[in-house]
Amino acid sequence: MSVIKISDLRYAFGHGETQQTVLHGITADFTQGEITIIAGPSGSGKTTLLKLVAGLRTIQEGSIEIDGQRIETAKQRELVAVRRNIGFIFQSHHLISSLSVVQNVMMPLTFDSKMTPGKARQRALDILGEVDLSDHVHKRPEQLSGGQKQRVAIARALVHQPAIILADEPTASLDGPTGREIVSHLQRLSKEFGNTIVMVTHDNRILDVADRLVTLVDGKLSDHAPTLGEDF
Amino acid sequence: MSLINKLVPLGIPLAWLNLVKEKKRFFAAVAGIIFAVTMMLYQMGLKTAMFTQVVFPHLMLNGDIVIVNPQYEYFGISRGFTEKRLNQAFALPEVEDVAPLYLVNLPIKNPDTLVNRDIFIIGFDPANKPFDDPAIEAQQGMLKIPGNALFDERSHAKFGPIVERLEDGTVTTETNGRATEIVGSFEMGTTFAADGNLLVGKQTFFEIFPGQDPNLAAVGLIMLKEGSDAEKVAETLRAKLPHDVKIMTRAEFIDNEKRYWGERTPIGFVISASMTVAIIVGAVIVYQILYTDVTDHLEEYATLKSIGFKDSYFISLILQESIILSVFGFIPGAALTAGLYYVTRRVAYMPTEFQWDNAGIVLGLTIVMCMLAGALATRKLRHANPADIF
Repeated sequence: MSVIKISDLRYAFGHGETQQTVLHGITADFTQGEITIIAGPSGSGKTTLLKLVAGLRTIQEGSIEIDGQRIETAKQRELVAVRRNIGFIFQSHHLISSLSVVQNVMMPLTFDSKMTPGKARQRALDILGEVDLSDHVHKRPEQLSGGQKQRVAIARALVHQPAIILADEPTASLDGPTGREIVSHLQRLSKEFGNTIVMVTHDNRILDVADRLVTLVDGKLSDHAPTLGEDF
Repeated sequence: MSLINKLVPLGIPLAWLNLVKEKKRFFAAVAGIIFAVTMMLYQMGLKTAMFTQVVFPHLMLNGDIVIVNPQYEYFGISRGFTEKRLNQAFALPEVEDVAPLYLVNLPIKNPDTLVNRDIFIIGFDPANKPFDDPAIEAQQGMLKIPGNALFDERSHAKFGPIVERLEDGTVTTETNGRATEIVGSFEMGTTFAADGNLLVGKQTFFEIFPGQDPNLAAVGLIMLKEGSDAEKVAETLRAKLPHDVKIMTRAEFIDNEKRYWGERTPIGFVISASMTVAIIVGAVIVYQILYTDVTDHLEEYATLKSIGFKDSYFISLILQESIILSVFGFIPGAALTAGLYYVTRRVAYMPTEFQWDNAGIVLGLTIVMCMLAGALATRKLRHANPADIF
């Protein structure tokens, strides 16, 4: 079943002579429970595509449907509802510096009106256990390593069990082994929870976790599968 | 969802945690609000004290209606009016009694230093009862003897240890170069027009102020019979008496004094201007602190926005920070002001008292000031597009 449906999506930055088109009529479907990696070199439009899917940028041409909701025609209230069904993992973790690890992970649970503080805390502690951070739950983000922060970001993205996880270069700021560990956590938990993952990266060392691999080069998407040794 | 859960979802006090994370900045913000609160509350206290102080004599006077010269400004400077008008008023069936007062500022000699200082002298006929004060009533008989006077215990210290000396008997001094025997005391209080008060009988008044026309009174008090309508009698007097006098009810007389000091002198303006400056300074400080807070946390807030938090959550967050700052600034600010009131009472003889209604107004103003500053600070956040921030 298609969870994300993209049709003839075009996007350009700037106006007039300085206009630069980054996405040239992209059409793609992303299926439920599947991990899709969108690979491609820097500047190819991967992050822009992800932000359009998340409803963080305004669609200029084409359309995107998330779980049947058209993004380009959605009202602000509907966009908020779409965003709440998406777990976003950023290149930089963007954790709330004044909150502890467990409080950071609890934040997305505030959308659930039936959630009590006790239940939310327990759920956050459970998922922090899944990413091996049980010993760090009371620490502040500044007390964690880069890899630990990114694991907290994964826990935060997954804690409210969203249908879709969008990950924007989640290993970009990490060393090889740590990046690998992060992606493994993401792969294992998404299989456990049945999330649809769309991950953009130019780190070809993690491509093997994908169920489906597509490339975005010069604003065009293709099902070309790069090999592990291929460099973007 | 309860209000508490809306303000502090899942018991995570993000507003509080954001504020106390940067302790130096938090204390700087609180210090700014303490300053603003202290300025506002102190100025309000001064204003309240001023309005209380300027009508100290008025509140001690009997009289439902007051007659003065049409050019009367305040209780201190007063051109006289002919006492005939009081006698004409006495002819009305509603009038129980009348009492003229004679007012002047003249020097009295400090019995210790022998330095002359101006004191406010109120002369009256001891046969009348112009004062609603048991201490004065009990002693005013002594004022029938020429040269006798009663001294205000709440006068400025510059007049010397007269009150202390009265414990051992009468105090001999000079008023405007005439021998004066201070035979007793009463409590009235200083005003902007008087650092001290002296009560004398009519005969003594004209002895120490010989240039004054004895047929002219400064203030005429009209006491009405029980059940009389002061407004109606005042109207009747306005219609019947010539226009060489001004008729006021007791309330109008008091209001006139407050209005004079509040509006027609720079004091009221200065106090109001100081309060406005305090509010602006406080608002600017709070705005800068909250704006810096929003800027510093912009990426974090944008992250929350991108995962589904609404603008209303952030507005609530910043407004919560505003209220926290208000309360944390208000409490020490109010305590500091109470201390300043004490010093002012001791040094400036002003009746500055901590008043809960003033404190409530200042707390309200502080919260409004902080919330306005907070609302301005959230503009940047509301216009922030998460996609532009990451």
